Amino acid sequence: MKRAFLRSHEFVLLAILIGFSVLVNAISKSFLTAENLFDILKSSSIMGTMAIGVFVVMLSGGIDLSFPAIATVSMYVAVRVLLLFDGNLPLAFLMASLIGAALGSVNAFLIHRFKIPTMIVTLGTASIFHGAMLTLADVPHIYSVPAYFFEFSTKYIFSWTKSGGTTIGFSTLAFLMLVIAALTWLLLRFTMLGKGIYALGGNPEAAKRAGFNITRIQFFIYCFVGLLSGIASIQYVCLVRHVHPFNLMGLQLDVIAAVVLGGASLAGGSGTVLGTLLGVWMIYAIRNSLVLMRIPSYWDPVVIGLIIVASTAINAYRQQLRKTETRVINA
Amino acid sequence: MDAAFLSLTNINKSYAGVRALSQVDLGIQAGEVHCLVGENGSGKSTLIKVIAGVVQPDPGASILINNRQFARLSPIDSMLAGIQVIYQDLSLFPNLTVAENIAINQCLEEKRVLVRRSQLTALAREAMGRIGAELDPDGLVGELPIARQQIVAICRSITRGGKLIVMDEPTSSLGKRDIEYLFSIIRKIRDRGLSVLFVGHKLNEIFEIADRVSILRDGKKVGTSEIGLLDKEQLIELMTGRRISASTYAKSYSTARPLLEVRGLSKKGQFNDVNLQLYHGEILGITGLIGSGRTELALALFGLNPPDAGRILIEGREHTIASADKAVSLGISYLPEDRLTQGLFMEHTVSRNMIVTVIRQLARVTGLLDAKRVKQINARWIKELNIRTPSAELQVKQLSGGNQQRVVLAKWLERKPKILILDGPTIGVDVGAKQEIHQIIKSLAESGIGILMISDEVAEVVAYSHRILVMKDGRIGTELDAAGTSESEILEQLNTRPAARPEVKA
Repeated sequence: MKRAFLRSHEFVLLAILIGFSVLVNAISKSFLTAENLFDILKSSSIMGTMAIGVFVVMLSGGIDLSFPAIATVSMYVAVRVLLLFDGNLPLAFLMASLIGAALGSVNAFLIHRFKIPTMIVTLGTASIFHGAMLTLADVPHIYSVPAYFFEFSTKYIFSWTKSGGTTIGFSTLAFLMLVIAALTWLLLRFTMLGKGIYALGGNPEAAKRAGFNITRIQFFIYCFVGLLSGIASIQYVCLVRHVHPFNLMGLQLDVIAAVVLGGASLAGGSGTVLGTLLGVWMIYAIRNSLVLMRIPSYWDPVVIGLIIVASTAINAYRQQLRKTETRVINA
Repeated sequence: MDAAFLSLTNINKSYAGVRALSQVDLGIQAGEVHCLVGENGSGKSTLIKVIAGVVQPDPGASILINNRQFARLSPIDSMLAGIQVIYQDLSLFPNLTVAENIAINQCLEEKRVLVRRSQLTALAREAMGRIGAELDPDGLVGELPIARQQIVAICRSITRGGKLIVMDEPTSSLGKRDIEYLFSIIRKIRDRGLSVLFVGHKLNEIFEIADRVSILRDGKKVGTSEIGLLDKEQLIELMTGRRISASTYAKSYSTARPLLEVRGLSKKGQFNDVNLQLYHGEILGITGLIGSGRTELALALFGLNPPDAGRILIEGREHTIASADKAVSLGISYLPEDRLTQGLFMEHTVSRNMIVTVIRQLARVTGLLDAKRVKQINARWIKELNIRTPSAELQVKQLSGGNQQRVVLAKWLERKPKILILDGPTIGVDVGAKQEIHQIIKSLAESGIGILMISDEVAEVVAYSHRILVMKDGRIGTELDAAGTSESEILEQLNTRPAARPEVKA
């Protein structure tokens, strides 16, 4: 059991993450501080929530490119409606996640009914959802949001105050994301639905023959990623205190990079929740360190792109090695 | 042994007027290993599909399972009645554990919502215990070698209540040791009172594992017999319907100058010190079991598998063939064993597939294709090779196996090759079309092309080549003159074990 963990992708990733952090800290000194680490944990919680949803989609062998659009639409509609009466934060989360799940079910319907590749469907619906919102909304920005959003982002599960007066702590936003991760882990590990998602990604034909209800599984998956996008969008409002129609739209690349880095394969069937979280933190750690090392932010996309290519290449190479290994055993 | 577990009577099946099965009867007892043998296209797979409930036989059939009569057998009926088919692809989940693969069906049938690992493991251990297999229940199936994956599939069939386990050519991708292991498992299944229907065509395996054997030929059942009452030659005769002892060919090629000469060709782990000569107009047959190195040798000659050592001479001049492009330019053409993935662009038209080898010659100055010449080429080969297609614009995947093979031939013949390597030229081709393809090969040889025909169908090699090389463990064991040999002699050559492990007879 222990040896299996030492050989696992998660362990390798963890080791790289720690090694990287030590390296950056040696250069900038301000990286490995409690303040910076808790800050990364907090600000990465939005991407983390999204990545967990996208991971589940990729586990099943599909891909979702529409989640930033779904997040943007759920965020806008939920906050707009809440502004009409007083509302509260739980209601905001509830509304955004329901809108997200509903939009996700549109994806699921198209994928199931017309058997279109998931990438094309979600590329199309992303454009439709976002475009429709921009067209129908008279003003797509909301600059003053109710105070309860902001208050939530300043709450901590535990915290302490430094001598200079700044508060350091484990943010509720990060806690929420970790709870979602834990629930997803339980779902994948201990339910038949979870096994069905693994089975669908591993061998769709065999999954059908074994008697899994593929339609139901796919509806669950795309509603789930929609729901998490909705939750993430409200986390985002809490953090930045306004609603912007474009800020979330470029997130596909970062999130998919994180999930792939975390060990999920684009072909489906492999990866873990823990790996996904490590992937997210890795991306954040890299971004954060680029800032600390005063490298212009224009370099960010270059680095993220390199990570996607490199980690996919490494995964493919490892699989090749494993195949040759099996062949030698067979001979 | 009177009560048959499965009893099929009067099974007929026609596809669009072609008889795939004709008045087949089959009875399988509880606790026996029953082998179903026949050449490719003899109707074995159709019969399996009937048993699995995937294909409905024509009216008039009677299916009796465990004394229960079925008017129509659906896949679910078949499963509930205790029939489990293990297809060649095994239908496993590579990313799930052994325990999950074995037990997941049971969990689905019980409509569970939650899974407990301890329960899965217990179920899997129980199934493995029943057949004496020992695999780590927490290991990933994708990381197991094929032979172990097969054991997982067998355990799964047992947990699903399989009383008759049908295995479709389970040994086709296994090495010798794995086959022995599989056979020990099959015997344990039988000893527990379950039945196995073993579908195959390799004779030595059948004689090793079968209690009884049923033979299919051209969709008809030739007979069922206790295996002890037959010898290999009789079984071959029953399978092929002819006793082919002498070649139907006279020696009609000249041995003045070899067209292709191979000296000491070796590649580590694949083939060793291979020497051969191929003459103009000769059909040289190469046969051997899977893993004997025959396909690897063919690929080496075609530049796709560069050898470590040795020389290749074409018309007396030495060449290094490092790529398929080079091989083609030297006048070598290769028909792969697996035409579906290697020989054809299945989604494209017959016409496009035919011209693909000569596409550069067909381009005009503008870079566009000369449509008139394309049409001429299409018309010529469709006529000469008698390709049955309504139009050259049909997608290749819509043609039958035999016609697809002719399209592959056409595409290479258009290159006007001097040397034609055929790897399993009639695999997956039905019986009638086989004969025609053999005729085409024969007339090609008569036109002066040297043909290297690789096949594991011994009957084909004996009947249609001039000389036969028997490959074993990467070496050319024996050279035989087709006119002076017989199938049984070659099969004996193939099946004798290495001298290091003599068979002890009481």
